[in-house]
Amino acid sequence: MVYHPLLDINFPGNVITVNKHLLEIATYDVFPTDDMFPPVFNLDTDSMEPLSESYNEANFETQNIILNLGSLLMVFLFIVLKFIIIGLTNIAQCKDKKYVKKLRAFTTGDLMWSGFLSFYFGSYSELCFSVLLHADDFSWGESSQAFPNILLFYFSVALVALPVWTIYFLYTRYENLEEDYY
Amino acid sequence: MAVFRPLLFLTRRIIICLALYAFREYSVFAIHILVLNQLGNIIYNMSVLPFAKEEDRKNENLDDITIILVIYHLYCFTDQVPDVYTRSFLGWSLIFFMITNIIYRVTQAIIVIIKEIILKIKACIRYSKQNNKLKSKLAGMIKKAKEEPVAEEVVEEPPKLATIVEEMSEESEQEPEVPQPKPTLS
Repeated sequence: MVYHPLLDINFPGNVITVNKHLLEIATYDVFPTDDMFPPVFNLDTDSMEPLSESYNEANFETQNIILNLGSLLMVFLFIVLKFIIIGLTNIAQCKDKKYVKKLRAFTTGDLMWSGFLSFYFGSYSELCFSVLLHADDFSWGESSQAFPNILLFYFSVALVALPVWTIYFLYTRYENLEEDYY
Repeated sequence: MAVFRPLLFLTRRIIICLALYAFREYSVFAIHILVLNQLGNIIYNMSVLPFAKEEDRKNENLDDITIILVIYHLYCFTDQVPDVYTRSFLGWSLIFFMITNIIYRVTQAIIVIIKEIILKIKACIRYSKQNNKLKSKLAGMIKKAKEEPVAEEVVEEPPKLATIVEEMSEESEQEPEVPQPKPTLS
């Protein structure tokens, strides 16, 4: 419902104003990432242009995947950080220490269902648009493009893998789907 | 068929994204795809009834109706309606439908949260009442125990090891062992 401003039609002014606010809520864009990300990831925003005027009005001011994901990228990096903490604590074999136990309990709470899957299902449309826009303006030229390009490949695979995994999950666990575990 | 709803959810989003991206210069064609996509979802929801709760079914139907109405407004924002005032009026109409849907859903969520909070407060009050009852019972039992002192039991001290050894040695002195006769061959 909130993505209709992307259509190339002449919306009245009142609809444009309301849509802009609704999109910010719908895409979970709560952090000021447009000011934070360019210096952090060394992005040159002056040379970036939107795909069209309608995309510009719908908060896709550039075609860069990092800037288009915005707050979603921060959520994704936070989930990845949780996995890194689990991995490091497993490698260091310090699971039983007091503070490590507390840290693991804080970070590893239900990573699968309300972590990765919740993230992908909740932000599937946003991820799709970000991947499509970045793929449209894909280039290997600058070193600052390395991280956005890696993200593009990762999210492209994830977007295809999620429906495939869903089919596999439903096919293999069809009879046990009503169990409390799921 | 109801279990395939997550798959349909993802497929619908892929179709919407591709339609809005690929046909961005052919808006009417993209709107047609959005309508077909939405109608497909309505047909699935009506025929399969994937939601077990009546409330969820109603909410989903309300969302579908709102989206269909929004898409109808999109047709009106194309060049088919050139009059500015009519377009502005249709804009307010679109905002009304969208905001009404959002307010309804947010209100529902707030009511659910408030109900949960009230239930938790009630459970806390019940728990504290039970705790108080238990405390008063325990206090009564302790008072009773203090008022009726228990008679002291006389505990016999276990015999010491030295005395046992002495007794044993005395017994051995009194009754010397009788040598048993050896069996002889006849």
